[in-house]
Amino acid sequence: MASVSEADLLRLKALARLHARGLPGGIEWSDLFHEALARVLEGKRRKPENVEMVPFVAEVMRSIRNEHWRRAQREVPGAMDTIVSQENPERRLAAAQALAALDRLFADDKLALQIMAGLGVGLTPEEIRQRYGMTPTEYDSVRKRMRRKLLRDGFAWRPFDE
Amino acid sequence: MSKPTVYSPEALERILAALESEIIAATDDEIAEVLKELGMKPGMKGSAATADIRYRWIKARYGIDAFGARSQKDRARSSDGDGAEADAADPREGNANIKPLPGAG
Repeated sequence: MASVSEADLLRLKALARLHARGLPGGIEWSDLFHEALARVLEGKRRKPENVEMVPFVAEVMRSIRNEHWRRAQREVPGAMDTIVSQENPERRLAAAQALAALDRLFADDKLALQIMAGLGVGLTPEEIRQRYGMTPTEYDSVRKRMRRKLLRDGFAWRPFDE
Repeated sequence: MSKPTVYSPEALERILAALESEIIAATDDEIAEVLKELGMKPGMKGSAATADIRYRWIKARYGIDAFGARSQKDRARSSDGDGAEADAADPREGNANIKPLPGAG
């Protein structure tokens, strides 16, 4: 297994914080982080040679996230036909709370909120720039601000939005 | 104020995917700068940024330092069962065997 740098661990921590948003049943970022690493280290998930470690572990986190939703759905009587359905009311509520928390994170940055709104409805970066009148340079600099904010939030000892 | 994000699970998935890419793309220098802004010192021992990562638990369970190759010492320890479980009882200890960030002293 390739070694992982301190920076990669911090990226993974920030990713776990991101993906733990809107999860059911009190699942925390730490659960997601350590479960993903355990699966990789135990060989339950094998990393392809041509994939970097951080994107690979991020994919494992996404998969664990979906498993948690499947489990939560199974605990709802009569919900077997809507496993992982995004129409599930609990899932819709959790998503709304997670998105509200992300909006709060970027609340002081109007352009970041515009990018979030555009991403949310599936616009491409080019479409977002056109819709909100951003130059490529502006768009890149907003992305950089968003990245730094995500990192700051991801490295913090306490969750900011709970 | 711009129109708020549409609050739906589909929107959340799309936004998480985009933000995930941003975190993956962050450079080591950006990470080091953010740590500095937060008053956190790069480098494992005692860093608040990584204090909640359970290195000792990972090392005890898998015999892997910093998720790299198993050391001879670890292989010997896990083969004779010495100490691994005891280490796991203290999950928040740091690990000095990780490639440091730029500027780490």
